[in-house]
Amino acid sequence: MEELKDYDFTIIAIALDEDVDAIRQWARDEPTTPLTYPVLVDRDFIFAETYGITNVPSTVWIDEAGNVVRPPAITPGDDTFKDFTQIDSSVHHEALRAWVRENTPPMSPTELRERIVPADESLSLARAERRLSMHLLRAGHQERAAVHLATAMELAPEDWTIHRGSMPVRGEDPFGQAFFDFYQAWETAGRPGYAP
Amino acid sequence: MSTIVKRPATLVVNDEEREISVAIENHTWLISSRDLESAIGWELREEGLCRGDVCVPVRDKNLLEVGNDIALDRVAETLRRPFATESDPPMAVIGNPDSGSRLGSESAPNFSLPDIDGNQVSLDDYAGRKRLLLAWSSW
Repeated sequence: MEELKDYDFTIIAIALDEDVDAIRQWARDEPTTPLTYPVLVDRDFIFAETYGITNVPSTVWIDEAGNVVRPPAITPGDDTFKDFTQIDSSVHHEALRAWVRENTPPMSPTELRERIVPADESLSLARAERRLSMHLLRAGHQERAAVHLATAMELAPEDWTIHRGSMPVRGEDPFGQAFFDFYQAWETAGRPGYAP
Repeated sequence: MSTIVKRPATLVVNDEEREISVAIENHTWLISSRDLESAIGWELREEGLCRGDVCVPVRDKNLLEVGNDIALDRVAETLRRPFATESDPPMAVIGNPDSGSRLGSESAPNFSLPDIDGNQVSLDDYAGRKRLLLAWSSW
């Protein structure tokens, strides 16, 4: 995003993670050029819930007046996972350049509204159950935390932040077999909730 | 009904943990009427459940009130918020209302989170600029 630095534009990265050290490593210690924009930590999924984020990486665009001009959408930074995501990152990058430089809106207000999917009752409850499980976990009640997390997963089988995002907390490898089982089921179900 | 024994419990509401005193029967959490506002920021008035000037009408107050107590699960329901509970240890969450559905018609909701160095940063700190919010994770 170096090329957009002369414009009145900023990225704000928000990590949906429990482990702040892991994020710091990703953001600052590992990259050859450390990130110059703010990296926030959303361990309670506050931002994620407010904006209806169901997977990562997702982006939301907000204009100077504070209006959302592009609702949450899966947006890979490059094409590493292109086969997986079925999204071409260059399309997104082009749209972003046009918006930042020339104010070209990424979509019409009608399309914007159509893309927004309200959380249904079951997803709302799933989020509350996840929240409960995280507070239980932090208070040292692993077993009860696991029960509530399982409830959350049952209530929201399509939300990646609940399934995959909780794997480190559940002691599972987010890149391991459990993830691929979840991915297979999601793929078989026709990629529900997926809005590239 | 006013003699129900209360015990300490944790309530997570508006993204914060609070210690409250409740009687718990299954999914029903009873809190003293006088403690309601300090616990959740809403109070029961004639007009309904109110926070400042904002009131949510209550169709049947009898559903909320049990003697001198208020049922928190019904309060959550009235406010259209999810309610999740655990009895051992006593802990409950009144979740947040869904704001995602309003993204296209209202201003982008503000939020405030710590950065990786622990400094609190708000979306509004960058008001007046174009912003790209990037949700990612190490998982």
